[in-house]
Amino acid sequence: MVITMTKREFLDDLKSRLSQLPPEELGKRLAYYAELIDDMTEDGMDEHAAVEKLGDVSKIAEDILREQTLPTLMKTRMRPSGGWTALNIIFLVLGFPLWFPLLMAFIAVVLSMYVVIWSIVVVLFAVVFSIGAGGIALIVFGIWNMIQNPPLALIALGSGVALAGLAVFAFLGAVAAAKGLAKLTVVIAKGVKSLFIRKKA
Amino acid sequence: MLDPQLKRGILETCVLSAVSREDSYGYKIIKDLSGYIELTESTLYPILRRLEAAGNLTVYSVEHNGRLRKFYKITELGHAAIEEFLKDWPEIETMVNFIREGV
Repeated sequence: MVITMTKREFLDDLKSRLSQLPPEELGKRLAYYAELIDDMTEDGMDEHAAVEKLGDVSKIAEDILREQTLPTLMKTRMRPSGGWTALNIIFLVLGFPLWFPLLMAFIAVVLSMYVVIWSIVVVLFAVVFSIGAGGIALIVFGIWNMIQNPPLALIALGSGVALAGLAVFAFLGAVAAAKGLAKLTVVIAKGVKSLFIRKKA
Repeated sequence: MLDPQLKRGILETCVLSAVSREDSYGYKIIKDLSGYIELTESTLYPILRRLEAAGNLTVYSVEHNGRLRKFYKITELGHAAIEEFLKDWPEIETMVNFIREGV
């Protein structure tokens, strides 16, 4: 038998799952769904059927949380569940030498992951550029010396063209690698965000 | 596979179009569009929010049966956005026809 919810149960469940949201945002979301349920029941739909049409509460909550920005999530995740009582503030201040370096270390690790990834991209393109520049230099050298020293000029020209061709392939490879790395940063960002989404038991 | 960004853009313009015909509210928008596109209650909210943030829609509240109903109204910017979309569309249609002919 399928368990169905009333409007009140749905909204309460959603509210508890979205406790991490800033109060204003939470209010807007709840009002949106409340209005929808009211409209559906006014239109003749059964209350349980209306709630069921909205879908799975946990999925709705998770999607909403994922829409939030990382700073918002970090702020509310770190908020103590009891709120900012005097005791909690005292703990926060006393514990500063402990949590502050940890927070800085966490931010540093995330940032350095990005720096490493983009350094790889920079290096790849630098390599492409130097291969290409070398090729062009040899071609120029070859053309310049065509009259005085034809055999040497031909060798230079040939290798120059070869290097230039290699640079083109290397460029395509670098672009593909950059795209892959860009996707990797998105994956990392999503992963970091999920760290801050409080999972309800 | 249809690019999700492209689909989302078209979906947003559909919602905007629904509101352009007459000021509308969440449930009505979903009902009016239900024959044409798959739009769930949960996907509509971010669309409305984005349109509002972009200045294509404004919101106002009207009392209805003892509760407040949020109405969405299209703006000048919104009308312009729809026109721009329709201007850009023939190009996409040409490309789709090209793909179709290749099958």
